[in-house]
Amino acid sequence: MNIKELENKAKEIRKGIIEQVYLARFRSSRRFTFDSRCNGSFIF
Amino acid sequence: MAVLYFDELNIKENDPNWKKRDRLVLSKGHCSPALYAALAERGYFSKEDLKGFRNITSNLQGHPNMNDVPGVDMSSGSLGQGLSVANGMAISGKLDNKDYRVYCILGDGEIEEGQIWEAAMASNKYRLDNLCVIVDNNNLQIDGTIEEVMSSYPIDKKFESFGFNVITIDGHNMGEIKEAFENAKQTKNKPTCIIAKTIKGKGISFMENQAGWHGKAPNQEQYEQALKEL
Repeated sequence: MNIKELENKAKEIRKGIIEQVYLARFRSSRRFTFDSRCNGSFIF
Repeated sequence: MAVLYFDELNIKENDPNWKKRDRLVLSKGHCSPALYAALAERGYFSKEDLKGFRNITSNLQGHPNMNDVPGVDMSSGSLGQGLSVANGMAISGKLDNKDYRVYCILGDGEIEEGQIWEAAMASNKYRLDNLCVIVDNNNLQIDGTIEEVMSSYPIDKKFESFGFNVITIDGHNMGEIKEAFENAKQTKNKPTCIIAKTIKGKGISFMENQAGWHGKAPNQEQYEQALKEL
């Protein structure tokens, strides 16, 4: 992929980030997950 | 993320667990929105799914879960652990005579964790030239600047002394990123560390270089302004 195309992809990724965090602004609940491959750490 | 997912990584979005795929460990797991946006853009799942981010019923949680999200190679969130995991993947690749490469993204605040440096010793000991570490060096962590909290500088000298091939680049320059990855692939018998100088919130004027935007959501006005600027 050429530089211009990569820059456009980066822009789309940035838009995707903003949209996610904006829509999640009132979501305080987070799901606790347990993954034994992460040394038993709680990811939250 | 754009260069990784659209130029560098040898992956198949329709076969996320393809054994020969390159691996990516996002050790700074709190940057999950960037990972999810890249995976959706690449086609691992629908962009519509991004709207469920952090919803209790969504697989796209605040930190990435490899068991729930296609394309995520490692669960992360507990900082400092990713390089150890990436080492394991890279060693496994060598033992199995596989030619996949392993990429690990670290934060410049995250590398204050001691486990990173234990892992860095192992990367060198096992001559992991199939491993490429990328340090996102935006000079900010949640509580302020890197220097104010616990300076990890000089990052380049530290990784050099741990036996890495070190390349420092402008982390927003696509050409420099591509060149650095090529340099890493040509480097033999040692791991590579790319120090990517970045600006937190790049492209959105009121977010740029502000520690306060580490994990804060924009309100409607800020959201609209951000999209306009992008």
